[in-house]
Amino acid sequence: MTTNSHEALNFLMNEQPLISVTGLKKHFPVTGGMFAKSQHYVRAVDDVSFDIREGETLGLVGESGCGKTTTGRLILRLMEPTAGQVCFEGDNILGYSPKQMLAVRRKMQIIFQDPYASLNPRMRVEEIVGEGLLIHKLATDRRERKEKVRQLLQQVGLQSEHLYRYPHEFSGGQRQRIGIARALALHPKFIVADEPISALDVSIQAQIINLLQDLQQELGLTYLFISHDLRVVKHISNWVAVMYLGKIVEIATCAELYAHPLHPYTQSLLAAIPVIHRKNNAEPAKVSGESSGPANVPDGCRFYHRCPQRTRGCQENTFPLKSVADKHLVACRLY
Amino acid sequence: MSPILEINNIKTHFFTDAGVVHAVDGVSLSIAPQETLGLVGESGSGKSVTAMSVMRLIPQPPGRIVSGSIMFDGRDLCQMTENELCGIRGKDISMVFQEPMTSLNPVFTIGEQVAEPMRLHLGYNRKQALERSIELLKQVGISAAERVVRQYPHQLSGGMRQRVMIAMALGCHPKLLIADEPTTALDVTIQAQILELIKQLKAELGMAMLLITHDLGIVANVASRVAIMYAGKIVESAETGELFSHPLHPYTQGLLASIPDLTDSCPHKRLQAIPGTVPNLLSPPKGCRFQPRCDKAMDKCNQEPQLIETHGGHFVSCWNKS
Repeated sequence: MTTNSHEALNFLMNEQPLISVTGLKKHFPVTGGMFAKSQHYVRAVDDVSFDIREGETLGLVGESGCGKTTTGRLILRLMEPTAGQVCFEGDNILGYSPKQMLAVRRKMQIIFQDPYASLNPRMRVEEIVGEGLLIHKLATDRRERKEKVRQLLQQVGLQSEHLYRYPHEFSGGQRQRIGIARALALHPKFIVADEPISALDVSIQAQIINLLQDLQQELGLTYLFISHDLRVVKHISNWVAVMYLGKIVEIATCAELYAHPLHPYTQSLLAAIPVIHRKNNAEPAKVSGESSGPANVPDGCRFYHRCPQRTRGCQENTFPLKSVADKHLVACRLY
Repeated sequence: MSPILEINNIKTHFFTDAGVVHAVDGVSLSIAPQETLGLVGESGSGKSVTAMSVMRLIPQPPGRIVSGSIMFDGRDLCQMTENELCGIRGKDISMVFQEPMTSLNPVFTIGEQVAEPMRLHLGYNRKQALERSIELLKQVGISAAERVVRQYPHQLSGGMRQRVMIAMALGCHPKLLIADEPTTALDVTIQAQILELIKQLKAELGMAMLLITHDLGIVANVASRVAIMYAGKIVESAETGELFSHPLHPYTQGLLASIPDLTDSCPHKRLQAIPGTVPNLLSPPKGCRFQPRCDKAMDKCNQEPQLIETHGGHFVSCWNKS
């Protein structure tokens, strides 16, 4: 079933993607005590597949507990997957040795969500942004490192004098710029942006979104943009994948997903966004209840308990991602 | 009809080692009975400090309400003793905070916490308070209320905890509910449910509400009037529909323009971001505080503009419109 959906996606994309994820799983064991007979698992990521072409952005959306952050970390091998494949430029990096990973890590970087927690408070900006340069031998000495960091800071809209300061001396938006400069330091091809603007004020979010888009154009970057904010995702993505409790429930080009959301969960996410000017007066159906969380994933369709269109069959069967329109896959009984 | 809450030129300053932070610097607001006023602003605008000032919860030191009055139901809250205020907090004015995990006491059961205001203010005994708590929890959409009253906060999800906070706030039928970013910490589908719940309860109980948020979308759907705060001052206020169709202050216009719009047909055009950052409130700029970031700034902006009514309840503080 996984292969089918991945083949379907490959067919849609028509060329060698930069990143290709197949059947990715991450199950966290939760033991019931020393003498527990059976193992209970948190199925955080449960059979996720997608591709990202070079120069494009895949928006990965979902609410808390859907597994999107875990997916981002698995791709970078910041966590080891339980199963699956992650191909970067055609090669499966899950089989790489530490030495091979070192080389690949230069090309794959991450921007974290929390600009307060992701910068070491005891390091100056120059050290934070330049740390990778010496490790990967992109700068031979401190002087060269300082010069490269200076250029990076300029690229993200900061100044030279910021080199000597500590994180606590900056605002949230500025710290996030430092995080972006750090991600760019090694000239990567691929960046996982894990909710990079959620912690920022609205007017600063706009500045950072513009920066990320400018950098993408200038440097030919490929992004996996993880977010719960559908407005921002629409603005920045070429493709969008919607996750729920560890699985992708719908994936399509950006224009197609927002114009024709098919999965009831996607529809409810869109309906839930507070909009200033509602196009028509009809209030779309709101979804009830809360997700059961990844530790208590139900059998059958995971959205069953909250779905306004559920039937008996949904509780007993699972539905794989299926191509339903040009550049649009959805996993639902309805299609 | 006289307003239930009238804030007159409140100034709340924080006296720190680094200097005086002018967090709220001359704010006036009023809320009619049963009305919902949305107070919108970003970090550092002073909106939470305004709410805490109303509840007289500003830590002293380093904070102090240095001038102004807060009239609630005809009485000045700034002149009341702590005892008198205790009789109002949780009873006539209730508050729902942003982070339900840190606002709920982790060592008491849900039942004990929801019951507390009723036992304190209404003199209920344990049994009465427990029964009423179960009713309230059901009213806020927690169907397994009999079980939840015996649980502790850490056993509940974010959405459930926020419902508990709302139940706590409503126990004594307050006349005014202050909700400080009540849904920011929640997922968007849960947020929609909680907002729906708040709207419904407000209508049922006939409460007024001060809703504080940075999300203009929320305010558009819940509030009848909106006030926009920037750097400790109110820069614009109007009826909700009017504000969104005719925003007058450059900051309001900038905020609206910087939100990616779901209805945009071209998804990748550049957002109109407001350049720069909010001013340091230790030493706010002279004159209009938005001037350094404003694309319509003129010489006159070196003088501070006043909040003036332009037409039909629409107030703005900007030289460009006077």
